[in-house]
Amino acid sequence: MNAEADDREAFVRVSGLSHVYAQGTQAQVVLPDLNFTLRRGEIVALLGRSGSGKTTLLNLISGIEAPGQGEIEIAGHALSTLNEQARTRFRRRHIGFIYQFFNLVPSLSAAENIALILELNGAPLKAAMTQARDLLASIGLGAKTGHFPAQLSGGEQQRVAILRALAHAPALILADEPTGNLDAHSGQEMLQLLREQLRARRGTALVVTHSLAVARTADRILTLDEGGIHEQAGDFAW
Amino acid sequence: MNKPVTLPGRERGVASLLWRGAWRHARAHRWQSGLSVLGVMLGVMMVVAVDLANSSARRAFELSVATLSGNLTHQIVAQDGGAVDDALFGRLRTELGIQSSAPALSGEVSLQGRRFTLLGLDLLSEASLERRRPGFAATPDALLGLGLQALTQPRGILLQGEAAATLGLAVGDTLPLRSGGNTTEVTLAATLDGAQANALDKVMFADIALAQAVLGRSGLDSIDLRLNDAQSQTLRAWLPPEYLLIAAGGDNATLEQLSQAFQINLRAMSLLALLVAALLIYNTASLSVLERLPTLGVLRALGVERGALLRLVLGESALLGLIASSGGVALGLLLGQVLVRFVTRTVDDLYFTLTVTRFLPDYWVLLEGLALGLGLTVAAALLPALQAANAPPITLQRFMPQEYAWRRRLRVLALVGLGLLASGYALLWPERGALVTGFVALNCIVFGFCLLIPWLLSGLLALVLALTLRHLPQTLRLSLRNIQSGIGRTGLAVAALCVAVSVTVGVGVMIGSFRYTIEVWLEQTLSGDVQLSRLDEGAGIDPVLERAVLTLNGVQTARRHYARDLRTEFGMVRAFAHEGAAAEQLYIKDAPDLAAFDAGEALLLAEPFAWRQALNSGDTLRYYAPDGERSLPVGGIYFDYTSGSGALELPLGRFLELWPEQGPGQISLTLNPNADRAATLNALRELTRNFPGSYGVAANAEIKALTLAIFDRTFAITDVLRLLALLVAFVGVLSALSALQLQRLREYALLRASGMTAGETSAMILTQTATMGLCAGLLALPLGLMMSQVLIDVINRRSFGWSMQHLIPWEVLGQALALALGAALLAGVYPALRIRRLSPALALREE
Repeated sequence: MNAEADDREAFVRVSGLSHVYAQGTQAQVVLPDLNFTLRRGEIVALLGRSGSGKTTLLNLISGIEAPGQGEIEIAGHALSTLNEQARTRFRRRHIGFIYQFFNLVPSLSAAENIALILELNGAPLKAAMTQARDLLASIGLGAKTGHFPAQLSGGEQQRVAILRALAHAPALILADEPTGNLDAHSGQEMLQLLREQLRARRGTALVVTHSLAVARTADRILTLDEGGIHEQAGDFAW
Repeated sequence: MNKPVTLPGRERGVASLLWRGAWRHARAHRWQSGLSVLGVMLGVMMVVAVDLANSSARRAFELSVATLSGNLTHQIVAQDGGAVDDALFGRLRTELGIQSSAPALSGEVSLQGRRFTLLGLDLLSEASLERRRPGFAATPDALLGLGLQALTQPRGILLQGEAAATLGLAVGDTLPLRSGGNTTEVTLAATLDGAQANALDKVMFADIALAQAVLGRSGLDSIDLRLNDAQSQTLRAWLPPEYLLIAAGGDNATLEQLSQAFQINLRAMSLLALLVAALLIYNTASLSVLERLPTLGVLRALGVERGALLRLVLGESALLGLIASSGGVALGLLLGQVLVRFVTRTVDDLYFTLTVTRFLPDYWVLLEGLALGLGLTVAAALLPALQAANAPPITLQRFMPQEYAWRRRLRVLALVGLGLLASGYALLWPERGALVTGFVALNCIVFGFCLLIPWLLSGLLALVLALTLRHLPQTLRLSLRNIQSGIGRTGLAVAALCVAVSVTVGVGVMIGSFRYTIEVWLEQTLSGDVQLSRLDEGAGIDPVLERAVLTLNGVQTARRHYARDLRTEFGMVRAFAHEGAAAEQLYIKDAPDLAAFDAGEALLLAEPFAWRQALNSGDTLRYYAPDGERSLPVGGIYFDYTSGSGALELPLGRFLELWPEQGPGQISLTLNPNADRAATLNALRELTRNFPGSYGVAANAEIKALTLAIFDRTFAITDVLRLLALLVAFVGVLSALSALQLQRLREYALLRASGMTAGETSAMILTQTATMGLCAGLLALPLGLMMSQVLIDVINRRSFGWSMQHLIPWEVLGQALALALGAALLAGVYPALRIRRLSPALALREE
């Protein structure tokens, strides 16, 4: 793919991005001058040592934090032009998050956790619940729609979390160590589910991981270190 | 280029699933929610009950005043406080043609053991005066119709219909009315059943001549008038010098002010309890937000706006406040019916004979209670709600250790606390500030101290740990470290408990000090061994009886005491005079010129009167004698707790100059050391029966007991409120500490998983709650004592003008410590039992 085609297809564009945390009176540079793009429909793995700034990068792309310098464009929209409230609404509508520790709401059932994001995006409660139950049934968790997170296994919780992240058809999925808390088998199941769902919607995903096995399932691999972000050579196929 | 992104609209409400989640959280923590509701419910109940009692008392007061005086503008009274000649009324009408005038006479009578105020009326004059008395129709026709009916029967009186029914009386019955030792037969001519008839349940009406006969009085109390400015000027010029034209209701205004001050105190106390409840709500809401911080962080990361989380937490609190306030209002309505008896009795005892004692519910008070409970609950939850709204998204939370941030805040909080304390004491600086300023200062001191507590607690624990590091058992060490490491939560809980407990200390010390002061005052002022008193209003002891008493076996010496109402530049004041030196009769507070008083050249003022009128030693007081105005310098101030209204002490010579015919109202008798006291008392009582009029014979010990009984009765309501505040505090301690411990179950489960036994973990929980309870109890003692000092030296002084001795009743301090410790231990029991039953693995998975 040439540069022009790359640019045309770019869904997420990160340019000149750097971020600094204040530590007492000293400033610690977490992200140096980063430049990269994510294309529509591709799944990109992000590798890096602990403390290299992977989670911070996800926070910046999702608008949870505002960058110190540089620009992030998603679907042609510069996040820097949005205030905190607009970034929150943007996240609610266009981004799905998957976490290592699932982060389901403990006082809501599996179906309600999924329905919540639909309701937040304006769906009536009844319709949201119906869609959530259908989604759970489609991945074989139809019998557990009323179960609370504490009543589900780790693998089941992560599958519910994936459905929650995808239910409102966001354009971008951000996953932070999605298999980090799962055994190998559950991890594979989870990846399979994520891959199927993303393919069906032509969704874009940035997956932070320490696992090379997970990284190899991505379309591309990026690595993050003190020097910046680099693309790994080699062909990776789903 | 891709098409521009679309954003969903701003969240107007809160997603219903968020409400559902919040409801489930509250249900899962039903004990904490229930205890919070109970705390607010009790607080609202106290405010509503006190408000209802106060408003009933206030309305009773207004109706009583209206019953006695109606819509008057002026009154003619005798300068010496004595009777107004009947003839003056006739002259007023014929010479000046002032028709809007009526004679007034009232006094106390008893019927079947019940006290009534007998009002003498000249019905024809009343009709032209158009006085609007509650219970009467305002039109002259209706008044005349009702009055003429009574006048057609000789010795006819009017009585409220319900009061007549209660006494089993029917129209036409003959009634024996007792007054001043005499009994007069009258006839119930008619009953009154007006729209406001409940204002008249302790009033009787009679023709003025019949009232004079029943009360054994000649002349009138006053001539009541409704005048315009021109008429009042003409009348003032015409009036003989022995009479005064005064504005109507002047004396009542002072009385009303006094009874309002008493009511303000009660209201302040109930509000303090509600504030304690609000503080506990703040504590509970704050803990609940802290506990849900990860969930709130997930919601923020999912895209829930700050405003939605703010509305969610405020909505939860509003619902809790609504449930609690509704319950509180219902309970307050019940309690109010009990309290109104205490309040009206106190106002009756201390200030004013109320003709109305009925519970008159004011529905605005109920609404106000509901709004206050709801408002305070929401206000208390505002900070936690803001905390929830500002919850960082979950991916940021690990970078923000809350407790670390809290430790940094401690010094700032302590500095703000010191600033508030200093402001509080600065506000108390002017001796004669307003009562409201006193309450503001009290709140500044309480909240200032409250903000110091987390810093004090942290320092104290650090010191204890540093000094005893190697010697403390592991469980205790771990408990102390736990409190210290979670200072944000524990410091807050200890502060809330400390304030709750300190209220009970402050009020307890204030009541104890006051009671002690009364005891000392009685000891100082009751001379002799036995007191013989004439009980009939204004009458003196028969001189023949006086001489007979002195010849009784066992009686050694006698000392006379006199009392009359004296009209002064500040209105009617009770004037006293005694035989013997002032220092032997009075509890002197400050008298730089006592010699002048003993020489008859100065008078002494009762402390409340001097305070209220801002008079000091050296000032001059004007008063009215039958032959004109006189004045005397103030020689000093004496302690007096008999009444909140005016009292002064005249040199005996001056008193007898004013009222040469006045006999002593009371004689103090000193008995021979060897006399048989019981026999002498019996002989005295026997002797008084042979004389007309009512007499009382009482040993000093009986008087002391009776006075203290009245004191206890007066402060019974304060005690009831203190007990309720104690209950609120108890619920608060239970709620805050159990919430704190349940929130930490996960940490304890980790300890269990690391090898700590169930018993050791339970012991640690109990040690931790007990330590926090003990710290709260210990810190509540200085705060409670500071509070009592403000209550005694500022609030009560500004309310009543009384100064008191300071006494620390140790049992009150012990009670406070026991309350804090007991409730804290009890709060630890449930979490301690729960951790024993909980599998560490399950507990770790729970969240």
